[in-house]
Amino acid sequence: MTPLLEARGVTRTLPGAVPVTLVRDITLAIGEGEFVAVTGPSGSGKSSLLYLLGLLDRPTEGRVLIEGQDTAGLSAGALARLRRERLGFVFQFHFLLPEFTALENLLLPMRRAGLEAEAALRARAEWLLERFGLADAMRKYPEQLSGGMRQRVAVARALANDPALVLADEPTGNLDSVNAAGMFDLFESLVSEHGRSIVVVTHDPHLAVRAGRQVRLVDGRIVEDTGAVPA
Amino acid sequence: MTDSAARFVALEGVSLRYGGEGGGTLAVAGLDLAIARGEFAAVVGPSGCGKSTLMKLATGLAPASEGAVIVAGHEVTGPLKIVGMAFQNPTLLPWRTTLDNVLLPLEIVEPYKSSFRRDREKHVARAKALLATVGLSGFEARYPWQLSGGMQQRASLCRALIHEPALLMLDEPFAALDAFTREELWAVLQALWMERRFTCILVTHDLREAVYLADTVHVMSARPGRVIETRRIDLPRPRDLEASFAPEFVGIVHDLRARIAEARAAA
Ligand SMILES: Nc1ncnc2c1ncn2[C@@H]1O[C@H](COP(=O)(O)OP(=O)(O)O)[C@@H](O)[C@H]1O
Ligand SMILES: Nc1ncnc2c1ncn2[C@@H]1O[C@H](COP(=O)(O)OP(=O)(O)O)[C@@H](O)[C@H]1O
Ligand SMILES: [Mg+2]
Ligand SMILES: [Mg+2]
Repeated sequence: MTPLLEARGVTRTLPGAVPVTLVRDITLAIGEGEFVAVTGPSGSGKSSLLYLLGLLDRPTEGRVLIEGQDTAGLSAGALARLRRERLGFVFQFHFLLPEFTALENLLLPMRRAGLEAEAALRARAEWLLERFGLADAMRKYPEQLSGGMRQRVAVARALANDPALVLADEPTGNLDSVNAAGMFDLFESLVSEHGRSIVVVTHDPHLAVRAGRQVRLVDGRIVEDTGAVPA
Repeated sequence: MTDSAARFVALEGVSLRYGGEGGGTLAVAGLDLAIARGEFAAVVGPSGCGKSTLMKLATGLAPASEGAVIVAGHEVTGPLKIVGMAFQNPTLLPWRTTLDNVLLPLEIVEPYKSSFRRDREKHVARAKALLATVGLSGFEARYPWQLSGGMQQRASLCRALIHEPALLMLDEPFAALDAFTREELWAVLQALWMERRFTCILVTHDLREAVYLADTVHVMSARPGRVIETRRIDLPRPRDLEASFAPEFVGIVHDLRARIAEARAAA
């Protein structure tokens, strides 16, 4: 079966007087319904890899394919559309807009994609928030929510346009251990009940083992991949 | 000046307690403050005295427990979507380019929202021009992670101003930057303000920053915070770094520092 997202021999080097290589020769295929944890020391290239997989950056060598389609030749606009329709992002900071309620924060990307009528969007946004235990938080502003709740709203927003794959860069970095575990419960249910795929960067080994597959980076290279298909 | 111009932003006997009746934290109490339309105001005070709370009150993100908050002649009862805001936190969306980040308010705030798609070209031209004024020409297609911290804050200023808000709220926007970059951004912000004359409230713990930029500096007491002194800064504009080492400037900074030290000691 065609993988959802695939990196083939991807290297990313920043040009300059002293070129910096962020990641090197990455080959990685992510299938439907996979839960992948990316681990590695600070500076090992985890975020850089996530940006490449998320089509927020382009490789200097190698290729990134989404659902079998090579992204190399695509315009910035086409990449943005693919990203909006197929991918969702979560970061350490929630990036919720303070002057909008939780519900409105979800509606913003949904309206932008402009796929459905307003009533349908609203119903879906409400369903997502309820699903994440945020029924009482819908009409509250980010300021009025706890850190754990804000981050759950951020995950709900990442799912707003029904992406096939969620990419999360240290999403539990600002959370206590209880909220961090709760976030991984949420990820598990997204994979097991909804067949989504998730790639999550974390430096917490206790959380990483909860993913079905661990990919470990050192100095920009994959040194371990528990889910790699043998060549 | 009409009353709503002289008191464009007014807090009248405001208190705010976090965490409910009786218990919780009394963040500000007896807070009185008036800022004229077009004025550049700075708010300084000891850490934890309620400066960010004041920002939340003035933008309607937090409701006052007592007293009234008035902006542009109307009592504030919920979040104001007409203000521009920038914070110390990174708030540029990582999955949007610099240009798309700057355009964001136009997509979500009326009167721009309903005609955004139709007028997109016009808005893009305006966003690019604004980015050029802060020295970010050529960076429109970059993502936030590809910009330095100082460049990200320049872009944040553009995003806060693209919809030409009457009020700009800045909560320690330069606090995470190194001193050199921070001083560069003072000049950028001053130039934007001199050209556009929006009303600006800047919260900062940097007294030189406050004196460099502001028409008035409001000093807050330790928590529960209230304004204990308002100092007019009549130094000529545009001010530059050179001016910040002149005796008059240094004297004002020194006075303010002494006032805050007193406030801390009184706590
Ligand atoms: N824009 C950049 N310019 C220069 N070096 C960078 C840039 N972004 C990342 N790096 C460097 O690339 C390496 C990988 O960074 P990153 O992907 O952020 O690692 P991680 O997320 O694992 O901590 C680090 O050594 C980092 O300092
Ligand atoms: N959401 C909140 N819930 C409870 N207490 C808060 C909240 N926000 C701020 N506080 C408390 O209110 C006081 C004033 O905070 P703040 O306005 O952030 O101060 P400053 O910005 O001057 O450092 C502090 O004691 C802070 O801990
Ligand atoms: Mg990282
Ligand atoms: Mg503060």
